Amino acid sequence: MRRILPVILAFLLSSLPLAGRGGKVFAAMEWGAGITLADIHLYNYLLEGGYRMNGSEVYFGGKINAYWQGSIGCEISPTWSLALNAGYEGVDRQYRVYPVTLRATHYLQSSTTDGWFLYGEGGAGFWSISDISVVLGRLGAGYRIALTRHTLLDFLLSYRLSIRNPDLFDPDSTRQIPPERIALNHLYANKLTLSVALSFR
Amino acid sequence: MRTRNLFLRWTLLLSLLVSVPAAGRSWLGAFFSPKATGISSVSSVGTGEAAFVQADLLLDMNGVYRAWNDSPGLQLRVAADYVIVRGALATGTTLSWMAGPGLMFGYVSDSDNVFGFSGSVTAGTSLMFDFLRKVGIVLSFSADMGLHYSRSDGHPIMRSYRNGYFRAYYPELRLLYQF
Repeated sequence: MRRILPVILAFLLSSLPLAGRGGKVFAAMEWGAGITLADIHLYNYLLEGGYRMNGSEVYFGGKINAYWQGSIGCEISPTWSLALNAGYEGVDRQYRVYPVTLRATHYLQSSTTDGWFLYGEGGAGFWSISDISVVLGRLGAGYRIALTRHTLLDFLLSYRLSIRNPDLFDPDSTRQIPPERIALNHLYANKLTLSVALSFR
Repeated sequence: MRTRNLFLRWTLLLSLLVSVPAAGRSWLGAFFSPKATGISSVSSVGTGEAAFVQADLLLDMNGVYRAWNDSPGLQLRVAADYVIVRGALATGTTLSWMAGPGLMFGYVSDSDNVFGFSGSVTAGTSLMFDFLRKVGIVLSFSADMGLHYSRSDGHPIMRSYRNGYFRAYYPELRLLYQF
């Protein structure tokens, strides 16, 4: 949280003068669902008996999660836009967060006409204001349909990466492993997501 | 399993019956809402498009997004929508405010998470944006008043379908393409 928030703020502040020079502000809502392709778990920790667990596992599975988000952004040039997104997202089974991400979009023709675009985003998922629980990233492509000059409909296909530290348990005592016994514990969840967005400018 | 197959057969038959009398323009698309998601069709009827018929085949998402329910239910909704006010926006978009009654049949879970058959009378109001691009967006709210039939330890239980009105304030959005 402490590391990411200044970065997000700096991006937002840097886009403010651009908004004054003809860049247009837009608001959007986006929703969709994704399917898990693979979860990769890298771990290295000590059990209560002193035995070290070290390794990596890959789980393939068709877990489906949905998300919803609202965003506010600025068109910094005719073909580029920056947006701040926040919403509610299922990351894993029984595991949901409030994501806050920053997205950069590049429109191959223009942001106000029909056409393809590419986008990437990064950010974090929160349980609460102070508790960052997931690091989130997304790369995708989409097609924009200009319903009017002010209403735009997007169809998006994206690859979603989320990195988190799942709870680890001792197999004998079933107690949770405390943080000081964990050297490495990253779960990389890879997802393919389909979504729809409506934006207003 | 047998009851589900029977239910599927009936929903298919009903959706066929609904699509026959539609005469004017018709749209097909997707239905999104926190309560359900699925496919939706809207057809205009009457002279001057004074009314629309909506037919939706939906997965009932009661508790699925919040993960206290594993499997979605199934609903078939049919509703009539009568235009109350219609106007044109500067961008060429036609905006219609509509309201009307309808019917809902489904195999859905109620607010106590118990699955059962439900039949309800519905009331809804919609705002339809008819864009020049053959795309329509309908924003709506609807409430269901009906009964929910389930079985518990071999005993039949008939109750009012509480999710029908508990979830009346959940917005519904249809993204439609005109064929």
